[in-house]
Amino acid sequence: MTEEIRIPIRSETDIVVARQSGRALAAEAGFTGSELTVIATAISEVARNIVNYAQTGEICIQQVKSGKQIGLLIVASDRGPGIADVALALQDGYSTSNGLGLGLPGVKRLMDEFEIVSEVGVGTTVTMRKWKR
Amino acid sequence: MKVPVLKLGKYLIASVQGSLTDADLVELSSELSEKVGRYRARGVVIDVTTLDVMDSFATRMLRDIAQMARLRGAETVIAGIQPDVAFAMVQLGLGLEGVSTCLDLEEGLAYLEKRLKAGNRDRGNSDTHSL
Amino acid sequence: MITSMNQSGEQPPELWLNEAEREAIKDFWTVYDAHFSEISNAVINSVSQKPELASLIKAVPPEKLEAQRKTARERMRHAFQNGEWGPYLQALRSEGEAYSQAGVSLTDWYELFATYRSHMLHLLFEAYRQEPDRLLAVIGAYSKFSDQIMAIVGQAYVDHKENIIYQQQEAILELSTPVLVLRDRLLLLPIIGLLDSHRAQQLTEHLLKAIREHRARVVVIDITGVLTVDSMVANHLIKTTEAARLMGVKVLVTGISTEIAQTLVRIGVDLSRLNTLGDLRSGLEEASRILGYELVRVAAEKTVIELEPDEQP
Repeated sequence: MTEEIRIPIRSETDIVVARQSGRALAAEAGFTGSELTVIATAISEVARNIVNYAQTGEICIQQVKSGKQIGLLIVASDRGPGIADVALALQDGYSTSNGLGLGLPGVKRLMDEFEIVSEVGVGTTVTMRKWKR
Repeated sequence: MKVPVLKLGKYLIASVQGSLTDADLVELSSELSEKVGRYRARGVVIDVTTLDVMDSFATRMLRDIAQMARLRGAETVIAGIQPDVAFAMVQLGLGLEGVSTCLDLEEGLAYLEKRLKAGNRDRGNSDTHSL
Repeated sequence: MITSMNQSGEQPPELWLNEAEREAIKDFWTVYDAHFSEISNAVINSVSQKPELASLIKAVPPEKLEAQRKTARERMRHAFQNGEWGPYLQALRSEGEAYSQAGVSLTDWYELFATYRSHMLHLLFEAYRQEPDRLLAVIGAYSKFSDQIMAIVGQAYVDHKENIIYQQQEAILELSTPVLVLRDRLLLLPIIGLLDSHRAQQLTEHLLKAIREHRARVVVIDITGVLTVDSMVANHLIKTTEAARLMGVKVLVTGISTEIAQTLVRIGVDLSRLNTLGDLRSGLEEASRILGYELVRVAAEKTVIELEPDEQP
């Protein structure tokens, strides 16, 4: 049983690799069909942000446990320009309906836990978790 | 993976298989653009029954494709968005406003036929009125 | 950071004993190992006096029972002597779950354990009677150790029961959200009771799958029976409507009274994103209309005459 996968994100083709790997690992952990799609979609979005704004980065996906609960941890990190105003980026209006903006509020809705740490000039790390129901 | 585009009478059918990279979508867009023009297609059905994920880029591209087709006189319908995908899209806040959607390819073609007939009827009427 | 997991996918519990206690407990093992047969037989004796447990043991063929005892003994040896506590504690948890599943009451198990424990204490006293410090140390360690055994087995029981409750809740949720196929291409989803986020999500997924299965074109969601209609409920309905639309389906929401509508608007819910109709009947009529049906009366109401047996033609 695989426990952790690291996917370097360098170009848009890696977006598909990342979401398919995430889907596979989630399937192994026993997530349901629609949860798999939700997870794959969230990974696709954060991977896309890396490509669009930081050019390169990495996505790390691993199965985690909390007591009896099984879940998936996804960490998307990059050394890109960073987000100046994280609070603003997380506001619902500032979202991705037309492919502009970071789409973070939407991704947050898809996941059970969502944290973002970003520093201008240093980079961004998005940490999110989805637990099996 | 390249998306095959078939011609069925005055319609074009694009069948998406599995996963689409951004490049695939861009290629699909230009191919449809070219073919709508070349065949003077009146309608396009993009069948996404086997599409695994619809993210922000895919949504934007499909909307752009529909707009492009409309400018060239063709109506677009997206067929076969799966329950899981629809659910995830809505959670993410993605919508396909301004683009027709339907359950599957069969429905899509039926829809285009209906719209075409309605369009012809209107055109017929307006001709009469202008006389 | 990689989380380690054993074969069953769960992390084994941590042993409660500290360093000194782990040393001391080896003295327990020496006594236990030496008296293994005697202890095993005593346990089997007590077990046979408890009907559910007895039937459990009887169900296992003697060779298999013997093999199990051997494995258990080796596992304990590795734990006590080599400090490999993981497999032992994990096996304990599985045991607890198995007993719970078999319907053995926790009290019965506890009584059995208590009997076995007092037997062990007796043996320990006998063995280390001459060395009070050593005796104190092993009794202390064993006391803590058996506390943990009870905790593990007790927790296994609780987890098992909670799992059953969860499964039953899911089943209830499933039963309480029937999607009705009213006519060709028309689905009706009456929602009754409380609507929380979890249930709402389940409903949406259920509905979307039903749309695909029945190739629906119109869905009527009736919320007359929903207890509290607040912005959360409204947002879920909006999401459901939008998701269904992506599948080419039109969603009509019925059962929002004028008062509720006014309240929702007041708290800022954009009702324009929903197609609402006051009552279920209007909703169904509208749905039929959309599908191209029209309700037409073709004849006067027929009277049904019941024939007596000897009146049969």
